[in-house]
Amino acid sequence: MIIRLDMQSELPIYTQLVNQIIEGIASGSLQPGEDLPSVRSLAADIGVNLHTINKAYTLLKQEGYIQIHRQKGVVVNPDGMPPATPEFEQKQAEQFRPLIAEAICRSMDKASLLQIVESIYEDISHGKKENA
Amino acid sequence: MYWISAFMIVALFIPIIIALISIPFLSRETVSFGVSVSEEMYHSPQLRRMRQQFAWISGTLYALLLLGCLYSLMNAGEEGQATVISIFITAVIICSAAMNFAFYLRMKKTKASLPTAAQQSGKIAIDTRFRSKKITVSNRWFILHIAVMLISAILAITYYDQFPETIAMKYDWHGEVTRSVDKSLQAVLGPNLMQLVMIFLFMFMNWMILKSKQQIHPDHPELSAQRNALFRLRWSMFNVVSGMLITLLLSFIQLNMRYNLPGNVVFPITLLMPAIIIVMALVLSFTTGQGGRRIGRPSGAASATAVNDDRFWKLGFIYYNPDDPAMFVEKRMGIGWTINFARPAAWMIFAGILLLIFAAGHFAG
Repeated sequence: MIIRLDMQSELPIYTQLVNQIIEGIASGSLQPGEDLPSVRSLAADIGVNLHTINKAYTLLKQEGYIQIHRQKGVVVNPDGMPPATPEFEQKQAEQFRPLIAEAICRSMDKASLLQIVESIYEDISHGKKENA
Repeated sequence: MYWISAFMIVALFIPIIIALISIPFLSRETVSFGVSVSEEMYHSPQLRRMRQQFAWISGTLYALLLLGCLYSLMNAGEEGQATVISIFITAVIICSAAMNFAFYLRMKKTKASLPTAAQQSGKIAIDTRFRSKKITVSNRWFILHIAVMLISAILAITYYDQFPETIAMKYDWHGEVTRSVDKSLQAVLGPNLMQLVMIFLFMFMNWMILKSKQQIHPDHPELSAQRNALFRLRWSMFNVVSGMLITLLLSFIQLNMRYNLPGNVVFPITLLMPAIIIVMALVLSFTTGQGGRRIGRPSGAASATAVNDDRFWKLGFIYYNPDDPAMFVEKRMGIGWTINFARPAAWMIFAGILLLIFAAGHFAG
């Protein structure tokens, strides 16, 4: 898949990387079991410190999206993706909360908020149909 | 004999001069005279005019130099010829460096005056499958080169008696021996040592092509990644082929030590091999362009994105970026790769190679 990063963005590079890889898996442009670049080569290609890549990969591994093997290198988890656990739902609710609060402040109604969620959902899973 | 050496010079240097003149036309469309620009800016009439000017001025300069060189050759004595040619080569190198530097400074000024220069972006794209594409040929191809070297060395040792008592090391343009040494194992096996060093260098370059930084355009990443992979593969193949030509040439030189072949056989062959390599490189430069920009059809609409990395390019051609772990990156001027001078390991590799060439040259006489 093509990973797109903005080196001038306020969002840290490792966060952008984590977000891009998760979206790649969600849209199907990264398939389970697919190889990801090694820490060293990805760091050199992006032009950032090895720690940045290590941090992103460690986070993805902790969440269960990827596996890091000594010999095989980094792969998208071939045993399937982690389920939506109660902990995940709680974390997700916490992340949604300030976004929804801000929307209410700006007097956005529920329907248009839901519409945004729906269109993003469609956008990502549309890629999945194309990549399948 | 003058006409032969004159013809050789013209045949060898015309392709080199063409390559020097076309440097700005072969660079990536995101770099103009060593300064980062957007594709849109690259194709603007202003920059197009600058490239044409570069071509005219440098073309005229090199033509004058070449004529001067041919004229001096005609009037120089036998011994003077080598001096004339080395002066000519030095002059061409200085001219090329001066032209590139002058246009680099001009380009920097021009860019500062462009309103679009403010639209700098930090967007980059990475293809996660890039390294699983076929981007170089295997270094196992060099087994062939090593076999040629070993066979030549074994033959040289087996037929050591057949080598003459003094071995010619250097010839002038007329095929006359200008320097010779007493027969020794070191002198006889000198070409094999050079072969070994050259094979190592070519293998190293192949590895460098494989390892160098992935640089793809964020606005059309798929096309750019595909072109870049093809670009690397073609130059890697060129590397193997030219490595073989040089290995064969050195074996031929060794054979010549043994049989003292007539000058009219030796001379054309020793010049033909480098000429083939230079012409191949020229053709490849024009068909690929830096990073593969000339491969396939044009990418359509010119992108307005310019990545600003000028601060890492000292004088427009020395890459110094301590934050970049990449050791090898694409050059900004011309075609090929360069090292990240902020990496001590890259320095050491660079110094090691120079030392190796020097030591081998010294040892092989």
